[in-house]
Amino acid sequence: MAEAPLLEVTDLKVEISTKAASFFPVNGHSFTVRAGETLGIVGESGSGKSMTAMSLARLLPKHAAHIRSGSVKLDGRELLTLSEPEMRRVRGKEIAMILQDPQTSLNPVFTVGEQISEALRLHAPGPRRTLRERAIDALRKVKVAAPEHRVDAYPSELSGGMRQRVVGAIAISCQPKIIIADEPTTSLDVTVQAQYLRLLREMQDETGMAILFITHDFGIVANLCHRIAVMYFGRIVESGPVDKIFARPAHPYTEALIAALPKLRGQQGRLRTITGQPPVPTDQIAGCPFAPRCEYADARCRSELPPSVDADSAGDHSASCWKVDR
Amino acid sequence: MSGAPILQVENLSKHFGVRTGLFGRQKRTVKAVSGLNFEIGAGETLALVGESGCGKTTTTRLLLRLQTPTHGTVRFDGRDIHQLKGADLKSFRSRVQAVFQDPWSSINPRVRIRDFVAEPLIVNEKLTSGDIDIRVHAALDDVGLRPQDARKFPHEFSGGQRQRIAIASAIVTRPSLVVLDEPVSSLDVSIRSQIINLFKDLQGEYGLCYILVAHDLATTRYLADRVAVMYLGSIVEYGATDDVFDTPAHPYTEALLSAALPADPGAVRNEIVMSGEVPSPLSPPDGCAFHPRCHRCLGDACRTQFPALISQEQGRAVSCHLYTE
Repeated sequence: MAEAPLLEVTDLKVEISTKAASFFPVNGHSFTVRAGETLGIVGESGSGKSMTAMSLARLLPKHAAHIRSGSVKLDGRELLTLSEPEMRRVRGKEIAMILQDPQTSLNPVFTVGEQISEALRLHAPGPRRTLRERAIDALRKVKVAAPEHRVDAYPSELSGGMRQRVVGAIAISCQPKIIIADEPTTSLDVTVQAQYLRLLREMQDETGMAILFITHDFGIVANLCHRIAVMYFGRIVESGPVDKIFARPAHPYTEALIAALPKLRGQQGRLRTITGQPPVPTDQIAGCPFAPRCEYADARCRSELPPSVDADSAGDHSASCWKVDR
Repeated sequence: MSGAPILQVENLSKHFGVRTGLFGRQKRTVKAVSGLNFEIGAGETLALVGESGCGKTTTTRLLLRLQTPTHGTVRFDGRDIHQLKGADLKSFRSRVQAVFQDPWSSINPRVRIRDFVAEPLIVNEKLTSGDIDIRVHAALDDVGLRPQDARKFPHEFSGGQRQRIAIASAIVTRPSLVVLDEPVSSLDVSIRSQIINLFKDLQGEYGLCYILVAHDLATTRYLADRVAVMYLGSIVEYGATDDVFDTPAHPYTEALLSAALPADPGAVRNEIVMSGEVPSPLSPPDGCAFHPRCHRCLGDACRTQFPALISQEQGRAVSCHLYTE
């Protein structure tokens, strides 16, 4: 914990305002990611996890969403006040993104090689032939077979897993300090997913980059991440090291989610369920947003928003709940 | 298995003709599924597992009679479904139903819930409007919705509730067999267990059979009694779910199961790395279709001879040269 975090997010708030309503899909986050570390952000749809990812790279839709407060520091440098041209030099070079669907994040009319060299050309220009060599190199790093041939292939000629590797190749081509991966394996088969996660881990070991991994899948989190932040209704409700959260979840939401999963090793009886539906971002909820679905909730939970408190004495595991000591 | 099987599949194959090459001059055949054999008894759940392109969806479409097989038969209650006509076909249609992955696209947004749920009744059975209402309300009650929800439109419901509506529509005709094609993968984690429990409850109450297609292996293990592992259009392993998960026999099953990620950071995983990807069904490998990726390939036998699916004890069957003499 001695060294300064690579990415430091403090009290980040994002507001979406439309004619009909205005609301905060990201409502006061703080978290850090250290170099070489993988932080998993876990949440259901509408919890604000993708909005968090987009606001870190300042890729929110311009007119609808605004960052209202907070700070995002990468290596000590504030990103939220950078001008757009300065930010463009950060994107791709220092922060890279891998999005869910390789179908839509690749351009169908350019070859794989052209798309990898585009990133390289922007951040580390060079003659065409060297760029091609470096594109082939990047493909080799993500373990694409026969990279000398694949570099001239169009995305439509590749399988889903292969395409997601190409997106990975673009992401690592400029040796970023941090990769933000937003559900990169959701559209892949389990076998291909396993290969892809192993690849991410290997790239991390090699380059020491940090990974911010956004997912709803506890299996991935358990196998890839060092720390977890669980999101609910625009807030981080629990964060801590992965083994602590699985062994002793401090927030009732985390506890219920983990208990509701069917077990791979076989299971008897009915599955635990969480009653009700997850809230949508436009809902108005007084008190703890999970209280209406929580089995421990009392009057205070329904009226006062709980602050984040330490779940144990080590100081690396915290939860926003009145009933941490339940 | 209790009594006679409800559904019997014998030697089922479906081949598609495709045109490839410049201007589609080359005609080739894709064997989407070939030589499937299995059966399902009342109250049972059979899961089809495998990677995308292995033929799971084609199989379910053949069972629903949405596609005609190239060879083989599907018998439902002893009768070949692809020969049914008239009233028999209608009765088949109401006794076999399906629930699909995405409740946002499987429900017509412009009709009220009552009309959506009632549709299979209106099409397949002659009932008065009052009787239909009674059946719709009973089905909504079965899936945990209220009678007043019948008057609402789909956009008034969340994803989990929509999936309940789709399930109500599938059970309103009191079917014997329901095909579940990725029924929970588009739902939020906190909603999934509610729906999975609902499937179990409905099965207990009405003795439904399910054919489950799901890529989440933990869900498959929880819901299925038996499992058929498919690779490139063929069943490579078949057996009771717990047996197959605990002691996978086929190297592909072994590798597939080892790729699943347990939600437990302390779990020990011995992941078997499969080299490469699923080959194109346009040009499947000779011999055993899995041999180019197999970590236990025996050599010439695997490269040249297709291994037959051989029955073993306890209803287990494996198609692999490791288990032939």
